[in-house]
Amino acid sequence: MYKYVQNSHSAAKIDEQLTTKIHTELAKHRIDSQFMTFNSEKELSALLETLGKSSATTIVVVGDDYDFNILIGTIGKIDSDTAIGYLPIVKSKIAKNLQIHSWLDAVRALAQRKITEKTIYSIANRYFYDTIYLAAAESNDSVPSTIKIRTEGNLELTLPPAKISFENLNEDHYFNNAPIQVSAHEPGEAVTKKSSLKTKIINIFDKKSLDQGKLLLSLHSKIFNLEGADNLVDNFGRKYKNIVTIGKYNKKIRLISKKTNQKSN
Amino acid sequence: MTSQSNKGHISDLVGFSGFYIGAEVVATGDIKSEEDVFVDGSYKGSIKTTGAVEIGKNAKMTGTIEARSVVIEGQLKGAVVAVDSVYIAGCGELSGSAEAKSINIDTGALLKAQIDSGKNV
Repeated sequence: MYKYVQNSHSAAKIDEQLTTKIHTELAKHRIDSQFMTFNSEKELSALLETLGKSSATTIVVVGDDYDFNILIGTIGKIDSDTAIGYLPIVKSKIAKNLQIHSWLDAVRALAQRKITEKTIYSIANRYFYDTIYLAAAESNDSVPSTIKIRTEGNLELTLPPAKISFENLNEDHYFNNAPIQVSAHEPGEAVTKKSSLKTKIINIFDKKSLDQGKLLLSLHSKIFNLEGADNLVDNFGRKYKNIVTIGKYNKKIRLISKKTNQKSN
Repeated sequence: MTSQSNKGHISDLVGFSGFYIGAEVVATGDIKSEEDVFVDGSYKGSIKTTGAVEIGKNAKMTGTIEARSVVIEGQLKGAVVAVDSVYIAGCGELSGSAEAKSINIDTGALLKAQIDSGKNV
């Protein structure tokens, strides 16, 4: 049974015409059902709990990469046997990685149900799919002057304020024992206090600024503890408490894709 | 011991994806790796790797290193054991000991160390 979820605040807007086209294609493959909307991560979490009880075999997120990552963030609510599908409405880096190049391609992939397994890791009480970025939300006196990162071994690193990213290296089997890479770069210009949180996040995690800034640190490990996360926000707008653990939990998810070396289900 | 320059530093590699501790970072603890390690910050601890280690110009390290090869361009207090080679640049400082199949020391390097070269490690 296929269940579709859609973020009502998604940046990927679907007009009525496209919605009808998508439903028509889904119906051709007999995998059509109503799109259920959610307004927040909390609502999605509640929705997934309900879907989990209704023996949905596949949960499909309709939207963009941001929406996909919101679903992954709340993946703890989904049974391990449930497959995750992605119906991208706009250009998508994640869909490309799954070899899905359009919404039509995605519909065909959903019908074929070829599964790719991927291990994802936790950050605090959520999960992240490939990379999650953390940076200071505001430049003011409340920002900690240093950030401490401790690895699973006894390595402790003290950094100045920085933009930090945690990347899931799971697909590179060489790093099975140390599947998460942490990188830290010098932060960009401070964002003014008057900007809205959304504007700040957009500015902080602007694609250009993510790749710029001098490299301060880069290493791999299994688990990280990050201290000094009080004023840090991630690229999904979530704030964190002082100490954040990354990689404490892992979960194998079953993704519908068109990749080779997949098993049918 | 000769004063030949050692080419091919880790820091010259494009897309270096090993262990990197920059000049602004203060680190303590042990590093166990199968990759190359580049330390350019302040570090107290031990490094054990099957790859290469480079102690950068800005680095101040106290501890021990066991690696395939070691390049010292900053300050190191401790023991170095390398399977292949140890190179101490003209701007490097070593107090402690170094043991490797081959050891090269550039003019200008500061040494207060026991050197043991030419033997299989």
